[in-house]
Amino acid sequence: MSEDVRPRQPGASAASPPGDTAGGMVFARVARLELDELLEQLVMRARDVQDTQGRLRGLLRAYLTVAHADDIDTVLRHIVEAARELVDAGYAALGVVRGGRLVRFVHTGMDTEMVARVGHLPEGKGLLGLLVDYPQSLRLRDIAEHVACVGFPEHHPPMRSFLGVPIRVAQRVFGNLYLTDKQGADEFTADDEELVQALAAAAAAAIEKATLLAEGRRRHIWQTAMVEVTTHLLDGADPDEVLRRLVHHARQTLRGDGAAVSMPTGDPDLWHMAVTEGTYQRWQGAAIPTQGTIAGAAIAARGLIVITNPGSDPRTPATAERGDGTIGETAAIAMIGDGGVNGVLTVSRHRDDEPFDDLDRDLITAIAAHAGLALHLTQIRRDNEQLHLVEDRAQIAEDLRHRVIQRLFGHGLALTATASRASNPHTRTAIEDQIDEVDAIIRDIRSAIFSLNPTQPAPTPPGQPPDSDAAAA
Amino acid sequence: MTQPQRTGQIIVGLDRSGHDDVVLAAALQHARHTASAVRAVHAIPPDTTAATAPTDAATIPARSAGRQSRHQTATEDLRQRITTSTDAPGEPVAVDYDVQHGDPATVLLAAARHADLIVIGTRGTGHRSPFLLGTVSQDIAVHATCPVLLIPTP
Repeated sequence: MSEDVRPRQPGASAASPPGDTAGGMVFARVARLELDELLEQLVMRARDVQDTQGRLRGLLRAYLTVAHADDIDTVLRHIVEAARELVDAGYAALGVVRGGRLVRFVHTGMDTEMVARVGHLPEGKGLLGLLVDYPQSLRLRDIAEHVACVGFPEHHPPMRSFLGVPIRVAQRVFGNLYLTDKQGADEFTADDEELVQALAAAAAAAIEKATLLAEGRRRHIWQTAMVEVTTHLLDGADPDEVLRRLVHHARQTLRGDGAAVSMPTGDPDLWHMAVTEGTYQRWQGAAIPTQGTIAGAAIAARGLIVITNPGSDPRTPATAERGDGTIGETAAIAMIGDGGVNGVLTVSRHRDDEPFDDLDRDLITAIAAHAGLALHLTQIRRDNEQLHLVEDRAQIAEDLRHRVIQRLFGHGLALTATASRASNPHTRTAIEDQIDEVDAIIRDIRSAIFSLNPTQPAPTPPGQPPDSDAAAA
Repeated sequence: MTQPQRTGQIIVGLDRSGHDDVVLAAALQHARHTASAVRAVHAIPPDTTAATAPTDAATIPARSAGRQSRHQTATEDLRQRITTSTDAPGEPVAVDYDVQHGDPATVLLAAARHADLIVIGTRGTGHRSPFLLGTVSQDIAVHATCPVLLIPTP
């Protein structure tokens, strides 16, 4: 819209000088002068209207582009590009604000080489930070003159004129649109400000739509995953495998860089990483102390904790020592079972990624509940197997006792027959002693069996009318 | 053994042979006279082949399953025998039944610890001499703490 650049000083002084020198035509000259003036004003207005129309058309175009995109990244890029084109700015950017922090910075106008030279993205200090703290439109002729300005980093292209407009999504400040270096003029106009504000309103709607869509999609993906996991669990799949799947889904739905489940060992101060993914893979099976680690903090909290920077958080010095600084915001949640905390689910993002939002917190809580269930089931299955084994062993022992009795009784009978045949009375007495001994053994074993199997009570107490239906019961 | 408390119960030992109905009928008759309840008991003898073989963890599930199916078959058979007998005319008698694994004499003696009477047939399967009782009836006759009624086989 470079044709916007035009003289805006049409004042009366610029009207054509008087051309007629005839003395009697004063009235006519004055009339002509006014007519010229009027004509020029008319042309000016026409141009203004044309111009406004052009800008409105530009705004409409921007609306359409922004409204058409579905995913948030595309929406943000379109907003930035549309804003830059709309007010003819040299550079445009959109800073996403969360929790009073600049968490994302989408920009246009700089080529990749320039971006590489500047190095890092803005940290939200200075003027950008001012808009984060006070989300109000701000229009400046020269950035450097503003008190909040802290100067540009090295290799940053010079920027003078500035226009910042906040974007509000559902009463909350989502972020700010930053425009710099008005092309062909010294500063942005009030019109520009109004146009960008209008665009910001459209952007808010598009952002909200894209956010809801993305949220819906994520919830859907998560739900599908959880149904799959539950089906597996009920199908009798190996709970360890189910846990592995859960960790995988946790990492995916939370868009984490790494995820892990750690479980208690015999030593309360030492846990081990049972299942790991992504950046945590290098610690698979490793023992980790509960002192000064993320897992330890979650165990102490008995719930969800989010640590923005594990590399410098006072709660996690041990994690900071082990990590190489790539671990960004980390969410860890303790899985509460019968006997206290029976596991900790940890999901980490990369240092440069966005922090976790409310949906992320909801999801990890739900995943942890599922994982807790899987762990609980594992324990129950293990207990059940043990119980079966014990029962089976008890049966074997019982069978053995009964068999021994049978054989001893047969042995006793045989001895009795032998004793009757023995002619020597001493021998007979000796054999009869042995028979008594065998009988004593049988009685001993039987009393052991009786004490192990308490008798069931009689089905009907005596004296009451008997009931033949009990036979079929 | 201390003097057990009696419950007015008659224990009848059934071995799922052809003489069960005779033995059961005798038990029912006594129950009517004495207004007692009857408990029919059947013992599944220990599986000698499986019990002598060394049991390792791998064979336990199969063994356990076989044991359970034998128990089910025996229970169903016993239930039918009892239903047939109790359907016969006469004053109704409460009969319940119990199937257990183990040495028959031991199982019956265990069941009869608080009973008033044990009713059994004189001979089960595998008789060797007409002058001797079967080993089970001999064992019970010698070791029981209550009267034993022996029903001769026809």
